[in-house]
Amino acid sequence: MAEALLKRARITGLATVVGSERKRLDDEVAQFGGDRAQIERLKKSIGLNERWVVPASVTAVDMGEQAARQLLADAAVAPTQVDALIFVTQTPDHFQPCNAAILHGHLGLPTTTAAFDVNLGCSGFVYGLYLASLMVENGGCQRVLLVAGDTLSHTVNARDRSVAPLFGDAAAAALVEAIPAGEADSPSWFSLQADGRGSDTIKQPAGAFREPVTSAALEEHADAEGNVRTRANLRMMGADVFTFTLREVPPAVEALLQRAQLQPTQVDAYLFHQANRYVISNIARRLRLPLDRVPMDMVEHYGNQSSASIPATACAVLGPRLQAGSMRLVLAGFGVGLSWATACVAWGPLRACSLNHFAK
Amino acid sequence: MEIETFIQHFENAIEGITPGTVKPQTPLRTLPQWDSLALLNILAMIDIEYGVQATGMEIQNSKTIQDLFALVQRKKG
Repeated sequence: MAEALLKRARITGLATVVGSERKRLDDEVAQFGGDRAQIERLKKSIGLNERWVVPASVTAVDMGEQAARQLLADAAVAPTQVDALIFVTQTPDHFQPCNAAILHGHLGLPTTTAAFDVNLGCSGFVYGLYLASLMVENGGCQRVLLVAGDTLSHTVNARDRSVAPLFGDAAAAALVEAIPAGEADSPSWFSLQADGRGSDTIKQPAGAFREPVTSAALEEHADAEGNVRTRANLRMMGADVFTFTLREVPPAVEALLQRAQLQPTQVDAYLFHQANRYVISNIARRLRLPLDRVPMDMVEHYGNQSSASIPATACAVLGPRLQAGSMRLVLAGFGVGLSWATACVAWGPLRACSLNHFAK
Repeated sequence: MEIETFIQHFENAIEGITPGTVKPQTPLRTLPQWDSLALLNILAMIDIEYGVQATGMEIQNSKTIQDLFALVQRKKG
């Protein structure tokens, strides 16, 4: 079991960058089959409305760089003070070199700063936070810069109604620092899990090495519901992701609370990966959580932002509180892999907690 | 486990269905509200009300309400 209790690492700042262009579901009715009544039902039940994306010329590195620069400036940290850079992404600029190496160069980080990517999606921020915290707790790092982001809107087919309305683009940067000697412990509980039997559930089949890019891989096909996609486009088996989430996430959160010896009401806020309001509301009801402590509206404003969604939610919804004082939080990321991770942490007062749109 | 109660849960789970219109022999595909959203709602309903998990495939393979009910009964064992 990948379970940990860490005590000497904490997040001291966050910065999120969301897309620069707004797409509204109301403007896309024709593209998505022309059934206005169905679109209204989707909006209301799933919790969809608009999403913020970036144009094709902008990547996760670009958004991650803006977030990192914002964070370092807000937190008054110089690049020379960063001991490691972790970039969580599934939409890297290239297969090689990794995004972390590219961003390392752009930020002018010293050669003594480690850099590597983590290839995960919706569970990626919590996995990344665990790694960054470990590196601070026991790995010789004073300060780790964790960047998480994707351009998922660039992976879907515009005529695939099952996924195109869902995804927004974003990147977030988090500063994980060692607690100074003499200051009290800040306990963080982590649990990381996976189920490879669900690896087909959320997938871009072609474009890497199992199915290299060929002209056949780029042919568009319509499925039984009339959704159009190529083998290189992101596809998702919605019903199976939904049942996976309901099956695994509530018990994982319950187990986490037990390990932390906390009652659900002792948690100030639950930051779940913002997949959509419908699934988060189901998780919250299953766990009998006070709904006012479970943000669930990010998708209808920004879209599903992959690994950036948890820090984006903190910045969008909890900014003032996190800058004013400390909050006991439960984080849960879940999705592609299948992969999921939970954490119980204390954040704040943060030196930085911003959300901005990408600007060239 | 009663099919009448199951039908009530089914009708409650899907928005826009007039209570009392669904019968055991009703083919799922003939319901105008039967779409991917209804599928999710039914998966959630089966989980919450009956404590068992069905897959999207199993629901798609059920032709009528009776089939769906039988599926849930089988899973409950």
